[in-house]
This record gives sequence, structure tokens and C-alpha cells, in this order.
Amino acid sequence: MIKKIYAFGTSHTAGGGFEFNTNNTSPNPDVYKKIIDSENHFDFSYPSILSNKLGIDVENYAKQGYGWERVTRKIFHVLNQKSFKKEESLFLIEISSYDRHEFWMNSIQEHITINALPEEIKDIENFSLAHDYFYQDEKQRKYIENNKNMFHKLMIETLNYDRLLEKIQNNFLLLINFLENNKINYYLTNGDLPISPEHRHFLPDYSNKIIKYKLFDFSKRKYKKLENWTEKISIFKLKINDESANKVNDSHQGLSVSFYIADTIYNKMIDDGYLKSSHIDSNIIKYWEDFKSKLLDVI
Amino acid sequence: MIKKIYAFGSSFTEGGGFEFQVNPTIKYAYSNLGEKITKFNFSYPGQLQKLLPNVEVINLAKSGYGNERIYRLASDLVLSSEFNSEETLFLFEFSHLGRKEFFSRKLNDYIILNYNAGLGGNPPSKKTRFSSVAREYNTDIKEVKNDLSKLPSSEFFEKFLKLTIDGDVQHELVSNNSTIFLSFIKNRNIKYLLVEPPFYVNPSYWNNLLEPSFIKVNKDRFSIHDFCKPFGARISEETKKFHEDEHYGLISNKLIASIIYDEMCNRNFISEKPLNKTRKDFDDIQKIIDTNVLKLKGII
Repeated sequence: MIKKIYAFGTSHTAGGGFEFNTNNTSPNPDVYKKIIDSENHFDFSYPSILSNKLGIDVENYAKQGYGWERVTRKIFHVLNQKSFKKEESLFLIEISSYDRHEFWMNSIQEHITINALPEEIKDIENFSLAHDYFYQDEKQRKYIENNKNMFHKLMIETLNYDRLLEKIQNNFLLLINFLENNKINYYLTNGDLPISPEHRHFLPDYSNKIIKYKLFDFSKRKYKKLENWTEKISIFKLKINDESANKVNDSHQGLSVSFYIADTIYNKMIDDGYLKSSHIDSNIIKYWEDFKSKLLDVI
Repeated sequence: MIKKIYAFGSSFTEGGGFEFQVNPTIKYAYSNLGEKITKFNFSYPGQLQKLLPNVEVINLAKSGYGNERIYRLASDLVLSSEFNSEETLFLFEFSHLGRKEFFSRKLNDYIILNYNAGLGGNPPSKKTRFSSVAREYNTDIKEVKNDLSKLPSSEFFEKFLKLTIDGDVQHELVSNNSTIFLSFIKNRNIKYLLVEPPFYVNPSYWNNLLEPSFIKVNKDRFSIHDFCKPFGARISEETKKFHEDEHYGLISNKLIASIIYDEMCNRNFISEKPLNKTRKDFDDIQKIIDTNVLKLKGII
């Protein structure tokens, strides 16, 4: 039986959009305290919602703006802990996009992330970097900002689309192979790996590790079955600003989506024998309408 | 049976020190040995090729480069449709810190940044020192200069290192990446031997990923650097300081090749008998090198 959840990924797994008391101009999600009385973004994330439903601990290593390098680093951080029990643990892994690059920074003794697409790298405006997009202190921000030109130049000199895709693809392939080989319990929470078809046969069959969802597409007013929900949130009009009637201007998934994702994972855990319980009869529309009415009442 | 061997590693595997086109004098120190005067032939994979005429030995090691090149090239091979894991053996010489690979858009090729990095310390960055950056070391000076003119200045890389490299952080990264990489190779049932094992990998993975691929010498596990330490293994020592170079000499590479050969016999990778050679078996070669050097110094 699973007794501990570990989550890895980006803002979508970290509770992105629910950052309170930040040091920048991000939208204030105060209105959502009507639903969850907390000012900690992790409490609004699907891993925490799941952990509350399960009554077991979650360690959420996801972080806004970070990518695959952090996922790998944090997975090993967990595996190398003496207290780690693989039979009782479940990893939730969100696949990130390829435009994130991690570096250590000596002056602040922390990692930083760079968000940069090879095709847009020339314009420094399309280039962002931070230790923490929401909570880094002024000293950290200054150190990082002072070195922005150097990192920008490094990216201009070294970032190549084809090489980057090759590298990311190999990293995905090797890491999933490692998890399978070491019999680590894991789920891919937002779809399949971006691996070319000719390389798929190098991996054991991991299709059962990919969570499948049935989300509602508000633009077409019908349900859609899918795996990668992060790329559909905007099209389906399931963003925080859709849910909050534009009171919170953020394009991450609404809280009802995160509740539905948590339910889907919960049900999958029962199907896979990780949990002895009954299925939750989950429906995103029910959450959506319930939360929307609460949010609008407050407004 | 093994029909193809790929060697991966740094200058110690490439045949570093035997850049005959750049340092012609070394050619004379190693003349009259009946050896083909090529870098490959003077490397231990090259010497292994001589011992295994029916096997193709391909040396993919490159001076200055490190593990990132190993992961990249070995993964590409394994993922290619022509790869035959039954008949292939990989030889890995892992390095540790001090090497960071980038892709240069201007050169349209990979480059390597070499630096000295200490573990620990406070602040750790003080121990990081820039060494050099290159696409290729030990090649024509014109070519090196041409490459460098297309790369950011050494001051730029020096600043980058000071800002971003920390021994402990790099150690963790190298350890994780080597573990994931070897796990992949192992899971694909590819035979590999560790010429220089990645001893920094977390001990909990040793019995699965490292120990089955250790090369055994007198019941001890082989490490190219540990093995060569006790005797005069370096080119400087082999040539009595006529040619100052800290890479391993021809005799060392012959001995390393014979140890790998014996390991292959013991594992039934080839149907031959072990050679059981020792350093003493190469005393005749040392005598010829000594004579060459004395002649070059004008002593005889």
C-alpha cells in the first residue's frame, strides 16, 4: 500500500497561479481562500488535494518555471534518502517543456532556472531567469539580474534546437528506464514522454503509467478524453481566469481541474492496487460549478 | 562472441600524449619498435585491436572531454537501428569533475570547458579555476586559433565558472547522470567493462551497475589510474623525462590492453586464453625506448 506521495514537475504541479504575498505583480488569488483557507500555493496543487483525500503525506518538489533537470535531481534526492521506502511510495511526475535550463549559482547558493526557446533566444525580452519567480528576495533578484547578460550570451552561443531535443529526449528515456528498472512506483500526470516513435521500443511498456482524463471543453461544450491536459487548459477555457470570471488573471488550470486530477489519480491508485478504497464519482463540471458559485459569491 | 568494441573516455583512452603530428620528437623516442606511428595504435584500444585482429575496435574517446560525451555517443549508438548488443562490448573510462560540454552554434559542434573544481570549501566557488576551452586539443595550432576566434573569450567562460560551478553540486549531478546512464546500458543487456569505474556513484547502486563490470586484476578491481600509479607508467617516466607528458606510455597501454584481453577471455567474450602479462614482459620495449632517448640526447 502507498503511504507517501512525492510530486515532481513545474508550476502546474506546484499550485501555480495560487501564489500569495509574492514579491511581484502576480494576480492576488485571495478570492480562492473561500474554498481553501490557506496562503500556501502547494495547498492548491493536485498532489496536496490528493494527499488530503488519501490522508497520507505528500512531498511536493515541483517548482514554477523549472524543468526536467530539477525533476531528475529531486528524484535522486528522494531515492538517496535513508528513510525512502520504494514499496510504499508513489512518484507523480509532470513532464515539462524543453525550454527550461537549470544552473547552480554560487553567489546565492541556489539553483536558478532559465526559460528560453532556441528560436526566440536572440531577443533578451524573451529570456527570463530566476531562482524563484515569486518568492526570491531582493538580494537574490539583483544577483541574478546582474548576470542576465552573461546567461543570455551563453544561451545565444550554445542553444541549438535539434541538439536540445536530442538531449531532452535521451534524458526522458534514460530516466523512465531507470524508474522501471528499479521498480519505482510512478505516474506520468500530464501525458506521454516526447520521445520519437522509433525510440519507444527501447523502453518497457509504461503506457499504464500515463494517467488518462476526461476533461470538459467549454469552448465546444463537450467532454474530451486526453492525457496531456496542460496544453489544453487554455483552449478548453479551464484556466483560473475562466473559473474566477477574470477576478484572478492567471492562465494555469483552475482549482476544479486540480481537484478532478486528484480524483482521477485516486481512482487509478485503486485500480492499480495501491489503495484499498472505493472509486470517487468525479466530475469536473460539478467542481467547476460549485467553485464558481463560491467564487462569485465572494466577488 | 564479441565482434565490435567501442572505447569511451578522455585523453587516457584516446592515446593522449601521442600526438605525433604536433610533437614530432616523440616519434623518435618510440621508433624501432615496429609500431605503426598513429595515436590510435599507441592507445590501449589500439593495442587491444592488435591483440584482437578479428574484432573491430573503435576509439570514441576524446582528449579533454568527459562523461557527457560518453552518455551522448553511447546512447546514440544504442538507439541506432544497426546496433547489435549481442556482439558489442563497451569500454568506459569515466571521469569526474572539471569537464563541462556545450554545443557551439557557431562551430556547429560540441566544445569542452575544462576547469579545476574542488569538493567542499567555503565558499566552494573559490576553488573553481578555469583551465581551457576547445573543440579539439592537440591539433593544428591554426585550427585551434580559428575555433577560439568563434567562441566567447576565456574571460567569459572564467566568469561563467565562477558564477555557476560548485564541486558538491557538480558531484551530485555527475553521480546521478552516471547512475541513470549505466542503468540504461545495463537494462539493454549491453556488455560493458569499467576501465575507470565511476566510484562516485552512490554505493547502493554498486552491486547492480558497477561490480559486475569491474575488470579483475589479482582479485582486485581495476582502475586505470590506480593500476598505473605504482610503476613508471607515464610517458615522462617511460622516456626518462625526454618527453614530458603525464599520459600513460606505450608499455602501460600494452599492459592495459592485455588486462582487458584477459578479462574478455575470462568472461568468454572471446574464445582465447589469457595472456597473464606483467610489466616485466615489456622490458625489451623499455630498453629500445631507453636507447632511442639516449641517441636523441646525443649520449650514444
